[in-house]
Amino acid sequence: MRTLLEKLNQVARQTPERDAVVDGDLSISYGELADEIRGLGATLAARCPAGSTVTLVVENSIRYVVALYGCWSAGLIAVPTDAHSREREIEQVVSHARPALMIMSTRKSNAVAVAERFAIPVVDIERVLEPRTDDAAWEPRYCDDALIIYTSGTSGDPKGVVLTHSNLIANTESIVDYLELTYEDSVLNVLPFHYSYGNSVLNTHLFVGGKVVIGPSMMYPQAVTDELRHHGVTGFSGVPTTMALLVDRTDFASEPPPLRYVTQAGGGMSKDLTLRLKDAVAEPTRLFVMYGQTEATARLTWLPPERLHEKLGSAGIPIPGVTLRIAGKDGRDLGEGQVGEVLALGNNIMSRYWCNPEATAATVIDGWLHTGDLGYLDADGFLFIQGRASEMIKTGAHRVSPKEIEELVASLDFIDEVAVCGVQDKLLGQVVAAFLVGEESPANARKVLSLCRQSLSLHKVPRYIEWRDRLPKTASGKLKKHRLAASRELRT
Amino acid sequence: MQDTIDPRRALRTLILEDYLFTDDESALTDDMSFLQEGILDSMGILEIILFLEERFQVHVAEDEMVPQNLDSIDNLLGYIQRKKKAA
Repeated sequence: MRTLLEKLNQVARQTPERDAVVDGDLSISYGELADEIRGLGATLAARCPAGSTVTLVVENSIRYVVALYGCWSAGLIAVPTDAHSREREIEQVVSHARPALMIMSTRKSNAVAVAERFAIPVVDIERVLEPRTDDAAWEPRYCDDALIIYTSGTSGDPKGVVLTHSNLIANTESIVDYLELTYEDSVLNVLPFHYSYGNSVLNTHLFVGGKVVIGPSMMYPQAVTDELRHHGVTGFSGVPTTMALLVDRTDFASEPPPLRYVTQAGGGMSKDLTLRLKDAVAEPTRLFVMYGQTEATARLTWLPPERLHEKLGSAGIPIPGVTLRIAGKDGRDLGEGQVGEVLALGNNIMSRYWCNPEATAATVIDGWLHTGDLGYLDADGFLFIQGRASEMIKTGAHRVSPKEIEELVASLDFIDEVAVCGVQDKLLGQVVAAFLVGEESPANARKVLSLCRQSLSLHKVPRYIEWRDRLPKTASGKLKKHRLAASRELRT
Repeated sequence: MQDTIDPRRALRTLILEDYLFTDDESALTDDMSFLQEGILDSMGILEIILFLEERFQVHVAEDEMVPQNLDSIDNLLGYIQRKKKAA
């Protein structure tokens, strides 16, 4: 098996009638899904050569699944984006990934404007879908690279994680193994498919012939709990914020849905919330705490549910096929209990960053992924994450590059200097804070926020803005961001 | 004093000033979905609930946190009215 698509086609041949994806009142069986993917694959193959990149601007939906697997059917590299992205953000991805086509579900004005500017043809997925069953007419194509997921977007240092089909298969098989997923499983998915966590939830459930139910937005958490009960799904996956909303803002705990498993990743969850969630889910629901990175396709470690209390606060043990090391600053292995950078090896480690050999060389060294996370292994080999070596902000499910926001704000003529960092937040883990040096006034603060609101997705818009006379720096001129973050946290 | 607040004005001002960062009234219509238009996220909706509780003394129960009550200016106004009537 070379691709996840081959596995999906196999499931479709064996059980064509079984539901694959449910979205509101719509549902699609494996047989229908395979036909639609094949139809789109043929359409796309006629329009661009194998190995081309294709940007997806499609919300979580059945159409998204057809678009993603349709790209693979045509031997194309899918570049999924947030359909709600601002024009500037889509432009950053498009200008770097240089797609041959852009696939859209509804014609988003932001994305259309970018397509026109770069003269990229747009495929309206609603119009081109033609199920195709005539096997002789067209053969699927293949290209090693499957997916590019952009993890941060600054004009100077775009990081598009290139995942190959081998990466996807390796990580999918590992996750299926430890979650013990089968065709009887179904998941309510509220995670964005264009991120690695949502992508893994989608792929693992399709891999076993299970069912993916597309859930409502976590903006209205009670609707999610209602849907868990309504669909009678066996699984649910979320980031810590999802879990906090579910436990604190819905009646989930008073009448827990009969789930087989709940999985959590996308940032460390506090011990307190972990215990509250564990108490909230009904026996025999298994709670899986996990850790990973987009650069590792999605998953690196999992905490066996039976050891949750004993190893509370741990990210767990390596998933099947992954080896971990803790390295000191000199690159040497550290012993038990010593904190250093977490390094990982396995077939799930990304191929490279797209068109960014410098960043690749600094991140994957002799096959080992340098995660940028700090942690230690205990005597039993359980990983405990202690923080991040890099400055990336983790807010809710999103990883945000401070540089992207700093670049934007610095473009305003009344700003002399700007520093952006993450400050602690009870619900989201961290939120974005901007510290400004320049012509201080309420009107100018508003201009900063207004520009951010126009140019950046909502989760990147600073929640806090503060004017300073100067920014704290080291003797060599490097910003002391931890000091800024700490000063902000003292006041909130 | 609280009763003299025009809820429509107060809610529009909140969304325009704190979320859209503009005083251009045309940027927000009363039937615009906060979710579909990406105006609010889950954090934003919690802040709106806090605003309803502080400004209008409306307690939002867990099962009332649904789009029909909260997802636009019109929906919010209808919800406030229903809550006041029931009180």
